[in-house]
Amino acid sequence: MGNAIEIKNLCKEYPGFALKDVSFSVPSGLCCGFVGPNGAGKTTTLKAMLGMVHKSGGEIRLLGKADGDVTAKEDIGVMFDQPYFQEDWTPLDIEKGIKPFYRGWDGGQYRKYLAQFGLDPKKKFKDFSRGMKMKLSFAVHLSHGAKLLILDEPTSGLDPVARDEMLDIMREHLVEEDRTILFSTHITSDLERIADMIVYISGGSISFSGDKDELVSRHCVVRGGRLPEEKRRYAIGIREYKDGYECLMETDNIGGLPPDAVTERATIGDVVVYMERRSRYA
Amino acid sequence: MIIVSLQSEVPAYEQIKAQIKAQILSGVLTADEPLTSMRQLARDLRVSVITTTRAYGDLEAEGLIYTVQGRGCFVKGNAELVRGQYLRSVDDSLKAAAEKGKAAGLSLLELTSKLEEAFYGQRD
Repeated sequence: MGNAIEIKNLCKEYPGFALKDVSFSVPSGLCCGFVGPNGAGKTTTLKAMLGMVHKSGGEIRLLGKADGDVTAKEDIGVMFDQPYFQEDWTPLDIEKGIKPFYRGWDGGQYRKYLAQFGLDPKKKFKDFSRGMKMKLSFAVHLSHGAKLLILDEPTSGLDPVARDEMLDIMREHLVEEDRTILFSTHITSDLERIADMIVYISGGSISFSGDKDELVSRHCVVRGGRLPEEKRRYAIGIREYKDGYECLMETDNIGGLPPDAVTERATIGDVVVYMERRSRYA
Repeated sequence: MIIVSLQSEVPAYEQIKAQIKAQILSGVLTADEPLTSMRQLARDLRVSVITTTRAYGDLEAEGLIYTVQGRGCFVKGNAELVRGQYLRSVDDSLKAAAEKGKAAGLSLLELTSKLEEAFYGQRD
């Protein structure tokens, strides 16, 4: 199994912001969550991957093809948080507009998805709700046989029911071998169950990239009355109040805490929140 | 039927592994029966693909299932054998526990209640 995504030392400079040596890879067949706070560089990274912004340096390979190789684009489906279809087009118009660009376009499949997602083929795009628009986007990209889906905040702005539906569509898509999803989100709870791996970006550089379970099991949340001085250096993003504290700690470091301390398994959200707190208030 | 509890301290892949193992050892799944594909099971249980891959990988390493390239995973025909091994290992562990319990001055009743605790404790 090769890598569906390979990024090496990607750099991009903007006034006041830079992507610094972003490197990570995603093996094909997995679902990877791309997390980080707003402004960390998630969208810039995705855009650089797709050639939508010019990178200042580095190397990007998607589905084994070097950047600039347009044949890779046939097998890539991209969704940004705002679907970009013409407002007055209906799903049928959209098909006519998009079909010529994909050799693998499957009209039967598209109609099947429209029916499955409850999308009226003759309704104008602008009249669909946000959840429906996202589903329509999925219908389009799942109908040209995309092997790699790159999704930027596909669940943001959706109610819990619609979010759950989006995640189910992704799961269904992943049932086939060799299908890969890179999925940026700040709703980290969406990732707890579906993601195999996590790439965590902060301030323009990668803080972690690897197995989700490893990231989560490596950390735990600690709460207690008073943190002993010798344990203080292990506390990540500590928050202290009158007679207590809470922080994140690597599981290897929790031995020797006073008996009043409570430790809990960390979620992806916990890890991101405490890590960011450390980098901001350190 | 496989149920994954998200509240449990036991990782999801261990839960899946334990339940499939129980189904094989108790004969619910029989020799050469195909298992749900890893990717399908991940979708059905709403867990990640790596989770089910890990569970199946462990089951294969323990000799309970086998993989046919391109066709998926199947139950190995040696469930009886493995079950026999488990029973023997249960006997050994119980013997050891009884000896240690005696040495520590526990009555049979106290030992039994400890066994009960261990038995029910494992369920959650």
